[in-house]
Amino acid sequence: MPSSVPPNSDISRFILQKSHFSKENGRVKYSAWLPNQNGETSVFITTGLEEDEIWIIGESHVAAPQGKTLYARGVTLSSVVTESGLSLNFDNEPPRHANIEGWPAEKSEQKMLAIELAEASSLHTRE
Amino acid sequence: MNAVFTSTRSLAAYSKSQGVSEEARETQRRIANLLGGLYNTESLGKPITSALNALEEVLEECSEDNWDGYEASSVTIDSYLEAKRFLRALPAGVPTPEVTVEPDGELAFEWYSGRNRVFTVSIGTDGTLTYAGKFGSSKAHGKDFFADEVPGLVMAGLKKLFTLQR
Repeated sequence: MPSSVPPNSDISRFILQKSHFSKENGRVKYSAWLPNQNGETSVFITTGLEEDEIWIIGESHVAAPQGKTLYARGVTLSSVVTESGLSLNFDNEPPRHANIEGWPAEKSEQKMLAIELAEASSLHTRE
Repeated sequence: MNAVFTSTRSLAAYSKSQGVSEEARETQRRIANLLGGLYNTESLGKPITSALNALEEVLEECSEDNWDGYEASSVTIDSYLEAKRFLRALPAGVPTPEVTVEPDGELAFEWYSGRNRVFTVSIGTDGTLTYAGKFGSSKAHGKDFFADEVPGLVMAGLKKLFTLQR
């Protein structure tokens, strides 16, 4: 993996809460992309991986260690993140992991950016 | 969808009476019974019931910290009650929202009418509403305060979402 995230890389956000996506409408909701209390949104760079390989990453690094159910993932491009004014901090811990950072402090601004990410992302659900 | 908001009053507001006479109290009882029936109708009651059920489901699923696997804060009963109060205050004619939850533990409602057409409001336990919306090429976001009725800026966002169809 490179030291930084190349533009137009696939970014996957693993979703463990059912109200964060709408299967009926086939969409990821904004709430899936909001940052945690540390101002980070945890994602993985999944460019070039097969579907089953991506789900294994989500299970082994996010869901299973915490005893939670992995329902879906939202996928967007790294360029969508950076063009919105946010940044991608690639730490590769675990492999392929990055954090979306640079969120504004004001909550309504965070929601607005999260809406932009959600509208530019696709929903992939576990079958 | 083009929704027409004919009133800014919620159904619940009509059950409040300032009258003290026996006649006034009897009228209030009849209105309360009528409201009870309306909440069970297909057109008005079932949608709000489904949203209330969704709120309850999210409360159950997110009542402990880290419900999302990314260190989210738990949803409290106070958050749930405030969100329920907001839901019941929505004027008749507002389409039923979807329920979601944010990492800080606030419950939120989302309305979606197509690609790049979404409006969301999260409910703070102190009555603060935080909203954000995308209406095609335009956007709006900010805060407002929820006392007894859904505030103007939030209603403006809903009207913009459902009455500007291109």
